[in-house]
Amino acid sequence: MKSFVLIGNPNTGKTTLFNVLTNSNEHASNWHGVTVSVKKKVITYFGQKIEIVDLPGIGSLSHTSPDEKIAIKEIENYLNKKNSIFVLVCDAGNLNKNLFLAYQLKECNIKFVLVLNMINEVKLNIDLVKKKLTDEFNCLTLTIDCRRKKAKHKLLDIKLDKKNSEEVIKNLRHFINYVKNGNELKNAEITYKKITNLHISDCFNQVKTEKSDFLLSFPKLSLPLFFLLFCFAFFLIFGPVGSLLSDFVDDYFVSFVFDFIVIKAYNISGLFGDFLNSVLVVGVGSVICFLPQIVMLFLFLSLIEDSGIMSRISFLIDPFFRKFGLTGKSVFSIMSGFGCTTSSVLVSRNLENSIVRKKTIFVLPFVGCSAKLPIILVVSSLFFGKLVFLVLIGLYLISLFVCLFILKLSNIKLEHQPFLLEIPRLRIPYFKKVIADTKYNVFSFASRTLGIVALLCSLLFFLSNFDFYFRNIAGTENKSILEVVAGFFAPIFKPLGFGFFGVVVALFFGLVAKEMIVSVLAMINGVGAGMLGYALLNPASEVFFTLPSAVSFVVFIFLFSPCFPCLSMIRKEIGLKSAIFCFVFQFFLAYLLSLFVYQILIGNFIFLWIFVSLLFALFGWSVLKLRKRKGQCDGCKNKFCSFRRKL
Amino acid sequence: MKLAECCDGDHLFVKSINKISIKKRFYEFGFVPGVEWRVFKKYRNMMLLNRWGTLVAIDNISAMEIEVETV
Repeated sequence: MKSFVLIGNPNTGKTTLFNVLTNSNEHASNWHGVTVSVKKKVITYFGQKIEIVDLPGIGSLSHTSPDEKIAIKEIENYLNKKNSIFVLVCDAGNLNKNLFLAYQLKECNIKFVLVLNMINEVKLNIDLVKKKLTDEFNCLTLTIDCRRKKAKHKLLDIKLDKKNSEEVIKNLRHFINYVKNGNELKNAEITYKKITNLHISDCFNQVKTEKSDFLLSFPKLSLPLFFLLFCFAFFLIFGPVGSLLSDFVDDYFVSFVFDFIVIKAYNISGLFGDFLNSVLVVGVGSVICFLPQIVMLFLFLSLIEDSGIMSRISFLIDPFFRKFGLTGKSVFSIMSGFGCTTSSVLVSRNLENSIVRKKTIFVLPFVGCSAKLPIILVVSSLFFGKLVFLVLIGLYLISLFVCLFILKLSNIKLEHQPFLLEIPRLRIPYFKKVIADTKYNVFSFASRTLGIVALLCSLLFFLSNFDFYFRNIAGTENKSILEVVAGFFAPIFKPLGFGFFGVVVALFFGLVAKEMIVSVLAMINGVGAGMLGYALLNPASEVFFTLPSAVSFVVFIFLFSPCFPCLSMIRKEIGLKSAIFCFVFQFFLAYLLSLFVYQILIGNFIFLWIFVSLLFALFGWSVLKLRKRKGQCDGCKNKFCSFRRKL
Repeated sequence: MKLAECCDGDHLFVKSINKISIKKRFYEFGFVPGVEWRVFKKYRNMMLLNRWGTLVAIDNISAMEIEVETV
């Protein structure tokens, strides 16, 4: 089977090309290091089976970060296979830098096809460039716009005429060793001399975005601007527009499709009818009705990612993040965390330093993922109505600051981490791609909801309707399995204001999938999402909230331990101990903060005093630390030391 | 002179890189003798440099470790 292996610098459009070739919807964006793992897919093209492989971006053949290591290993694997075609994808607008890798491949005698991508963004003398590159690298050169379907035929029609010999792997290993043994500069110098002599940039007339870059890179202007942009987006998503769409889905889709068609039209009654009603209308329906808001959130994130704004936020926020041991590049993971924490843990692979990576992964569960939104929206809207978007902005900010503060306390000494980032061109988001990305994210959210949530709701129905002897408890005074087990743990949450067995069940199922929290509360109270708000205010319900307990519950949910899939990903990336630490630490932090919030709100002055004393203690500690650093700074001759400037 | 001492609009050539933990990454980006750079904008903690029409952000502490000559 023929294999096309897509290699190239980060952010050159490899994954977009992979999506076009394989009709997939893998995540691709306008920032460096989106792809951190290998993606493979077999397609049938005119009756012939072809394997397409997408590798993480590499700047050169010698690796530094985990994702680069994976890419080089995979290149070696495919060099062993006879029918592999290496496709070097280059950004036509940044060809000089991209040719650095091309020269290294040439040095190792690796045969490849050179693809000039994003050809629509530059005006160039195509024939001249093609001729120069073909002559220089003795390879086939293609020009494509990877977002168009035409690219597929252009690339897959290539015939394998030059095969890589067995010697090539030896060459590659020899070259990597040569470069790593102190010859990095020598190699780079020679390569860039060759690139300069090629005079490739003389054939280009690049689209310039210098004026917008100049304006967007003013920290005092752009950071507030980006913050306002986020606030406006949150207002639209969680404010009137989002809730209107959410109500529409609840009234017409959930009630009509599930309630009327599935249950009433087929006249299903009895235990099976109750089961369908609980699982579909109450359980799955209570998550599905928040789908419009989730769609809008993913659409917004997709627009931000595709425009190139993310890299600008990254470089603007770097000095602030550095104070907490992170770097600006952590922004990419944190922003992905708005969607799903599990996938954002993977994104952190593009960070070179292992300590920075660990710290970034530690921050990620504090960023509220989309799965936590339904329950937070339901409980917050009970008391804050249309101002719920402000509650969410506040929660995101408080959560992030609590986490950064803890990082500051951790005081792990870290040597200076260089920040070097290529800022991608600003571009108007490509409509079709944004829609495709959003569609993919929403479908994966919906399929997860329909799959896991439906399955767990079925289990929940069984546990809440049967006792330990597997007898239906309907109409009897017997306690269900759920009531007995969860009731045992319920007193733990009494000091937080929500010591109900229903909440314990919700939190437990929330560890499997956070979407389940709202479904469980709806099922326990026996109402759909539309009526859940009223039920949660009714003291006669199984689970109900007052203002203090609602605030305490929202704080707890926002800071509560990450779900099991996320913990498993953390274990895979940074080890079991760190995953256990994350789980335990976040549980106790959420518990303590909720305890303080609830006790202060109900007027328990002892907790208020403890809280104020803690604040004073922290303030004193900060002053002491600052004085100590002042002493350190005298010895520091660094002209740009931030402490010297402050003092 | 050091890269961090350059001003907006300066055109420069890199001479050498001193104490930076990941020099390889800098070489990949073209911080090597013979490549012309331009200072696009300088801030308190960061610099935006331009080469071949593409912007590269670098922190000032790293920029202190890069010896350059202006043209």
